[in-house]
Amino acid sequence: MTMTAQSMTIIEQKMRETAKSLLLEKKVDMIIGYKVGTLPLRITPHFIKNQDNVSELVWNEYCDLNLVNFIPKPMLKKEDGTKEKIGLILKNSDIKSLVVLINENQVKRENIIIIAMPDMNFIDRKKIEHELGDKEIIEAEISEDEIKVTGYNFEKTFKKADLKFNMGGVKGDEKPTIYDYIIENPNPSPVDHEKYETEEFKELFEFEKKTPEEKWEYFKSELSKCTRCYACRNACPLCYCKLCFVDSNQPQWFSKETDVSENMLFHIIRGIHLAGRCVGCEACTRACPEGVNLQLINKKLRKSVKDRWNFEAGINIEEPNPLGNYKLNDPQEFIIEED
Amino acid sequence: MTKKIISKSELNSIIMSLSKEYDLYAPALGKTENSLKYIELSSDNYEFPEFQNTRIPPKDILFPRTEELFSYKNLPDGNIEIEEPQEEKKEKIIFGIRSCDARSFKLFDIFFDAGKYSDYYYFKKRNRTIFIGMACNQPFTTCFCTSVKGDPFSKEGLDIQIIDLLNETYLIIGITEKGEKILSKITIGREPSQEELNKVSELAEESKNRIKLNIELGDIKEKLDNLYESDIWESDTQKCLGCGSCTFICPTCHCFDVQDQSNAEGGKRIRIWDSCQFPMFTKEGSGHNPRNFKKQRMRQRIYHKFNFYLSNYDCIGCVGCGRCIRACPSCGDVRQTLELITQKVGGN
Repeated sequence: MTMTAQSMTIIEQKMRETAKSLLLEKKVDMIIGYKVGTLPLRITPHFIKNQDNVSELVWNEYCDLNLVNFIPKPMLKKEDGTKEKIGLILKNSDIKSLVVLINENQVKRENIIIIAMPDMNFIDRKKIEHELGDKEIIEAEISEDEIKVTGYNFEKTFKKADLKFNMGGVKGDEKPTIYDYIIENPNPSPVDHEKYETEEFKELFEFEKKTPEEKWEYFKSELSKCTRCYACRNACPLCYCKLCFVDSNQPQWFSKETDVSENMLFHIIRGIHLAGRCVGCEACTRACPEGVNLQLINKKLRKSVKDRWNFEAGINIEEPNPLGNYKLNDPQEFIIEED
Repeated sequence: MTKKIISKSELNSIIMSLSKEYDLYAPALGKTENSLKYIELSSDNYEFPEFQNTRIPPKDILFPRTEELFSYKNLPDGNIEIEEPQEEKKEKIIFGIRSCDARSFKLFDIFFDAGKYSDYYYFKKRNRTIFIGMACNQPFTTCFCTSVKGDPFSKEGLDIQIIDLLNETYLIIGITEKGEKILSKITIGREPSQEELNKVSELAEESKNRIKLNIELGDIKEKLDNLYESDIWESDTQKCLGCGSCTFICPTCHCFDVQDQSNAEGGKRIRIWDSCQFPMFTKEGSGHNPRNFKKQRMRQRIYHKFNFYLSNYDCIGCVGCGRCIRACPSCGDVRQTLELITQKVGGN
């Protein structure tokens, strides 16, 4: 949903107050939030232990990193032997990935204090970077509907509506499943749920209209850009295996060279490992230095899981992932005659 | 030192004619991206673009991401037949590189030249390569070459330098014997006037002044010698994802892994880029990992470039191009780290 600058300032203020009181009352040992980055339209994760630093926390429409990824694993222990409590400033899509982590016993709910932030139209900086190519943004001016970027010998205005992306399939006015504190939008605008449904998988529907040859060419060209830096895997909060399949060398499952077929294998297998778990936060796509369209594979798998088992990751903290579990009424049209 | 003035169209025609005789790499748009890359020119229709610097450095021309060292076939009698990769026929020209990238190849030369154990694969290509640079008139806000003993108009590492005089003409300067040999084949162009030569120093000064950041790194090695156990490595690294994007996009990073791939018929040995930011980089056969924690790996990266290189080779292992800052998904900034280090006094 769109949000006025005024609402954003109010929300930022409330966020800082909440963070400050949590640190003062010693309800948390550390807060993880966002700070302004050294480049325009960029934020960087901020880790604060002192209430005097809360004024450095920011909230804006380019807070795209998934901060759940920065939860220390294992949680650090204090001097008295108990685990530290971490306060996290999370968007709805980030909270969904936290739900999956808790469900998978990677994080204990009681060690996390969630400050849930309201949803809004986040800006996909990859779209701006793609438009500008190598040009550097020296200054960015954000207004109600537009972003104007200026650099050496150029100026370009983008409409925010063209830059938004729908993280985590979040509808815009839903409350997150779990939270401890919630900062709400003081002026929420009504949300068209049906529009969100079609928007979320629009790219997928358009893509599925292509012929198999066109799809193959698309993936070949996208995945030949991949340099196997594993930024996608490292930025993903749900890729937490101590030894990733791609790093295994006894046996080595496939090559580390940047051959397009090896790249495809890596992304497809990682996709399958995330099926039923990926919440669509798009941290992978944001992190990719080459601008590969990674979220398309995960989006397809999310839709497939939803269609087949009516399951969406990150909603129900108790319900196990259908690919890691079975129910007696799971569809089995591949083996028996079903109605 | 040959010096000539040429026009923009003459520049493009020189590039085109050189590309017929040499494997010429120049900044051009790739097939799918909207950003420039140093790629081998194949069309007849090339125009040297206006740009500040490419996102990806030209290091993969001489140090490919994946390089076959040799391949082998299994013979029926149990022996193997080794095949070396084809000899490079033509010489290469890397055209239009900025001074920072030219300097990065000098650093590669230093690293790969280990006397008796010099890297055959790198030098095989490098010794057949001619570097033609384009001086940098408009550094990025993230550039800091002047802090690491570089300069936007530096001739270091170049065989020929071209300077854009910002009025649709260019000054070409021959620097080395290799460069002069090429210039001797170019018949177009005219003698520069004194005014034009004076303009070069003006442009050089203006470009240098555009670089806002100037960190005093004269004693960075000594400062780092005292900061090994500092807590800045913990706090500065919390936001790091360990993704390795910085190392892949860095023009001076050169770490690699060697792997063998084989099947029933034979196989090949390949060299691939590796990153010190990956935990597996230092994992030993015993299972022990001396750099098991992210902060140790980040510390190592900074030390490698700003301390070990100075100890081993008496030069800084960073060219100040700032690409790592733009590539980092967490907006990590090496300039901030360097400022933190230089501001720390004593051992804490």
